[in-house]
Amino acid sequence: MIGSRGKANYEVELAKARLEALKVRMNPHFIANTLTSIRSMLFNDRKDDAIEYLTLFAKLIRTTLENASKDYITLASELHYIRNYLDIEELRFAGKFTTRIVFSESLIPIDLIVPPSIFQPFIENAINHGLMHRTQGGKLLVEFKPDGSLLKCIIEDNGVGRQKAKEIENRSLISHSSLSEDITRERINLLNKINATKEYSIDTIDLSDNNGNPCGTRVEVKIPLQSIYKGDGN
Amino acid sequence: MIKCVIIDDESNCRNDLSALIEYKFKDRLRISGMAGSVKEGVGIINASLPDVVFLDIRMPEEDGFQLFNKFDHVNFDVVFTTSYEEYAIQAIKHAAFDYLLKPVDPKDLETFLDRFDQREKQISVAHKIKLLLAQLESGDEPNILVSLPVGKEYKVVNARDIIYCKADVNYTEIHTSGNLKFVVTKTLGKVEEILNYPFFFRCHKSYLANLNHIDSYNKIDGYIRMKNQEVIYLADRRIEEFINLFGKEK
Repeated sequence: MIGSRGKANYEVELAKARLEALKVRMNPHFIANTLTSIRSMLFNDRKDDAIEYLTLFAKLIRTTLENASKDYITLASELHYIRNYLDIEELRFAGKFTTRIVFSESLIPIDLIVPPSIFQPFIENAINHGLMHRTQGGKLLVEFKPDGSLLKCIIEDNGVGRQKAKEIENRSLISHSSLSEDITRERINLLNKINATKEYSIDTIDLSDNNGNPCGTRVEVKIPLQSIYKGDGN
Repeated sequence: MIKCVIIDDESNCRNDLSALIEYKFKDRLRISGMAGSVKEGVGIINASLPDVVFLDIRMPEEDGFQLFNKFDHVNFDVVFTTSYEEYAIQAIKHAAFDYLLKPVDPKDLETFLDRFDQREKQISVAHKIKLLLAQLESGDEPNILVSLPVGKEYKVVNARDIIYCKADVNYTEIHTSGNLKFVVTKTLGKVEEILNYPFFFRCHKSYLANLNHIDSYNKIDGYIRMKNQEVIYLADRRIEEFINLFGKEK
């Protein structure tokens, strides 16, 4: 018994260490694209645009680095982070898609805590895999609502759908794996392990219209609904 | 001057590279077109016949590698521009001339331009040596066969039968004996490189004449009459050079 408890503790500690290493990472391609965009604005004398872009990007980097040392942040901070990220992507993909963030009234963002950047990678994925293959009229919905003892975040796009995105990507010779999504799935597994729970989960649903044609993808990320006033969350 | 086309789905990336070229390399590189997709790029390449294509890899619908499937003969060099370092090996397999990471470093672009110029020089020297050897081997009145691209085919002609070549924007009309004419999908400059024989003379920006087919010339009005009675004008700065071909006047 003692031996197995020791082993369990050891595994939890190991999981914590791995979680630490995976915590908050920024996609290097996102950084490269953003900096290229800013430089193009400087070259083309679009000073105001460059200032706006650079300010948003500086804010995002600062928050990313700050969050790297935290296990939990308030949902309000996470929302700011998502809005900040989306503002940058909307500048980059000018007019290609629009975003709506919907919030259930019963949730008080400053009172709730969530692991940092737990939702953003799925938003990034919806843009880079679903919406990227659309030429226009893309819609992205990010919705937060309570689900019993859980907090549910729905990320829904009207992109080409997983099947079509996969077909397009299979036709090409290059790999399209989503590093940040893989990392987040791993984080979810580790959070379940550390907290001895199964409450953290990700579901991906393929959407289809009335005629059965694919019309997008919905990802539902669920995590425990935790108040800032209740313990340290760990 | 190296003629280039930029293919990238993101307008900011196209604008960045084109502005960088305009800002630092406009004496060496000329952009003849930009495209937001492989499909659009094919049209621009066919219309402008560039030396180099700057090609993004990750694009919606068709990625950059698909461009190679659109041509029977790839008559241009490809430089991949991407923010994904992991595609380098595939790029090499596609015989990429170079691989630039975004945002493109001006120093990397300069290194590419130097390499490109260096290679062009080597090709041109190798071509001249080959030609001299061919002439040495074949004696006095050899047939000098050359192949020139006409659409998807290559037309083979004896260079001696070409009376003159006339530029037509990005294409070149080739007029041969027997009043025949065909259109080559290369600029006159490129045709001149292929017809690198001593008996061809660039008498004008738009004309390359075979000296063996000249009937007479007028140095005051600056024109050449060919044996088929067609008249080709000499550019002012070419007149003296032309006359000198026949030795100084007594």
